[in-house]
Amino acid sequence: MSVEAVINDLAQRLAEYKKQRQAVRISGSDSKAFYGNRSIGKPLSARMLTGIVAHEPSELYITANAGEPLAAVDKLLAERGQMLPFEPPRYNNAGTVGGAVACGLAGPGKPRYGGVRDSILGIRLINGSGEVLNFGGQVMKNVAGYDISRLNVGALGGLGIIAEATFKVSPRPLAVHTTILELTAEEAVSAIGGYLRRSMPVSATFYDGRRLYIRLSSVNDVGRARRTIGGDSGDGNLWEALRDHRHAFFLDTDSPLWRFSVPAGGRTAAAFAEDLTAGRAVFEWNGGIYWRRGGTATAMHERARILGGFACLFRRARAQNDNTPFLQPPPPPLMRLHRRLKESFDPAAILNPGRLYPGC
Amino acid sequence: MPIPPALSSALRTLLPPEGLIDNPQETVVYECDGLTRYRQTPPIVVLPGEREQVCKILKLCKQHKTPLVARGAGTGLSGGALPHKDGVLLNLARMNRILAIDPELRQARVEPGVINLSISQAAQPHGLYYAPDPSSQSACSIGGNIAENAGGVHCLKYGLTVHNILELTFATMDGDCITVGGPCEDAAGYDLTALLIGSEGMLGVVLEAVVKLLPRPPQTEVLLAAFADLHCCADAVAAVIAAGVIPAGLEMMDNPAIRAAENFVHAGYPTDAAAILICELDGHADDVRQELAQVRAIFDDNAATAIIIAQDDEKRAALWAGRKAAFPAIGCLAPDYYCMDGTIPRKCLAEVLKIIGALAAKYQLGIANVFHAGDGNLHPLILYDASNGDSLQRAEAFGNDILRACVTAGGTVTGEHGVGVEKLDAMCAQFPAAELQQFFRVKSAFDPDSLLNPGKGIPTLSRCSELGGMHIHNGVLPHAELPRY
Repeated sequence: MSVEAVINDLAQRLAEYKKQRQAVRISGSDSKAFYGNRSIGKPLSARMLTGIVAHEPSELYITANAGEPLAAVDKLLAERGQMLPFEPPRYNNAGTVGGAVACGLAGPGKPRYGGVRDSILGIRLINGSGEVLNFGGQVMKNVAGYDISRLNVGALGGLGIIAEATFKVSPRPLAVHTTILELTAEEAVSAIGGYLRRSMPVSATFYDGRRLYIRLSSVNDVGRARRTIGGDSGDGNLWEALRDHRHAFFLDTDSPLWRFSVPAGGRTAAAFAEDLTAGRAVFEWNGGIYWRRGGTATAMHERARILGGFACLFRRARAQNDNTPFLQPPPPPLMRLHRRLKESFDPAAILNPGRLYPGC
Repeated sequence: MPIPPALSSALRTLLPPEGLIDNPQETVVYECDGLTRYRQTPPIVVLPGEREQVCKILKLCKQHKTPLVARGAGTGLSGGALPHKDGVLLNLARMNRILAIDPELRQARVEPGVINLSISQAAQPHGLYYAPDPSSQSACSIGGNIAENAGGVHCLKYGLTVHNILELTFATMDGDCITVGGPCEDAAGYDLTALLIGSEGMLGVVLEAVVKLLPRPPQTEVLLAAFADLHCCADAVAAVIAAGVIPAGLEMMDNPAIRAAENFVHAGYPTDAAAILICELDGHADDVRQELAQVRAIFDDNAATAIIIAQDDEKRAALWAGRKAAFPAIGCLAPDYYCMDGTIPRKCLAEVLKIIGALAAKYQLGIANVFHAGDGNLHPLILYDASNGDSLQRAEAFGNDILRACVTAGGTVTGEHGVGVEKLDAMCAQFPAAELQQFFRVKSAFDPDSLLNPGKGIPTLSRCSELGGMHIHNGVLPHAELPRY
């Protein structure tokens, strides 16, 4: 079937399911099946929507169908010295364009290169009424209409099946070096702040409780930054291992994995100091993301609240059969707004219902 | 239908004397924003001093089914703050405090009436600045920037407003005060921060924002390149981007713009050039040195007739002076000018310029072009004389044709100035009915009674079908009380 035929087929099916109030569970390569609340529904795959629609290196964008594997997109871009700025994770060596948008997860370089929502330029969507809609385009300077493209990033498929997406691409760094420093958490956060203030080419950071790992990246040379920062050289494979959760820290699936999105400062580092030392936590994104193994929902959400951020149950423990929600529900006025927006795209609530929040 | 007396009286009770104006001789000051062609004296203007008042004002307006238009500094170029004949004009100018600067997190917490440039000024002692720099930055408000998703010269490298806002607190028409985002790298739930940004005051009223601050780059270089041929200039732009260089700024001016600017500020621009590029590179000294060499070589390869590299801060400012004065300089060439704002793929620059040139001949009007060449966002300035016959109508038709050409070339009808009232017709060319209806449903989720800034941003379906995509209404746009969305 051609891509157009697949899209029309999906659209027709959704229109039919809407009448029947039949919920669907959307997937690409299903590499992020664990992410979000469990959603029940008739399996609906966008996997057949493969293909790169357009790539114009000098225009700095790429348009791909939702089922196109991220690995293939990356390979094509690498051939032209470019990359997706947000370095999306590829769990189990899988992952598609549509899933990257729906989950909105970015790799180690997010503070420097931006997240999925910073890079998305346009989207083709099938809403919960089976309408195929196009928003945005191929240009970054575009303020016509509401930002439906960004609204769908991280919406876990609840507002529409993503059929196609256009992203801004960036030059791929030619010089990449990994440096290791032995520091406390607070020293690490402070050192990172110092490098960033001096516009040094720090593209990613990781702290494992003992050591700070720094990725230096540039289209030019990173020699001077290396010499200034000092430290030991590290294995550059670290960053993809972190991106795809193949790093040792993530291999223990007996405990739940919590993800904290928090202000990246010394106060936060202090709050996690004990966990970091005990090997229960690590940080990335210059101290803007902490991963923590184990912990009750109450304690984790309270800690996040005190720090001014939020926590999500990124991955339930393997044996965990409970219904601990993915996220704490927001305050009622914001929850109402979420439900009304959901309804505006998916009036019969058939698209991945409940995957993000109850009713969304 | 005028303002219900019960509403006026409730507002009068809520606000201090200086917070409410209803004398037409005073409210007339707010009759328009930067798009002076369209004017409407508001019956009542409210100037709240703090967020609780804003929430209560919105709630009262909803109770009385009275429309409300929010206004920042009134510098917008698409009529987004044009008052409603029977509505309340909500002026956020008094909410202008910078509440906190956090140098460790590199963030600032600000009220909506804070002037864009004053954020950088307050952050300066910490070696930080706020990157989005629309040319009106010494006057425009951050709340307005958020409503329009404002850009500026530096957005190619540093992003639009949407890339630089971390948290938003806004009032809904129900009177709720909602916070989305946070002082963190990302946020939970739907990206309502992004949805609000660029929503032109139609979904909520901004009460507070946390903005990202960046470290001042250690090194900056500015160069000017002159070209005898527009195509060479456009090719040079594409080549810079294709080489993996992301300049901090890359601006183009055509010959009429160059001559007007040179006449005005004497920046030393070559007045015989078909086009000039002003390129700014910033960052770490090593990177900048390398990029400077690359960019020079690219300009040479594309037949630049002259390349000037500024030697110090003063010379850098001088090179920029002409570009920054372009609009007022061009404004001297005719009694009126109409500034267009569209975006096209960079590669279409030369072709679209040619189309614009042909349209200028067709409509018998002068034109000067200034571009954010790095991101394809063009500002053709159409010269006309409002007092002379059908000059205004020809200018508007010319403008609409330019926007249609942008859409045909694969771009958009507005890169940064917003749709407002000005580009409602052009929106019909860009969005089919189903997409418009999805926009209406999103709007309805926030404001089912359609009271917040009605008649702006998104055209009604009936408007679009009347237009048939081709016919343009001549004459001044009717007032906002006509049924729009």
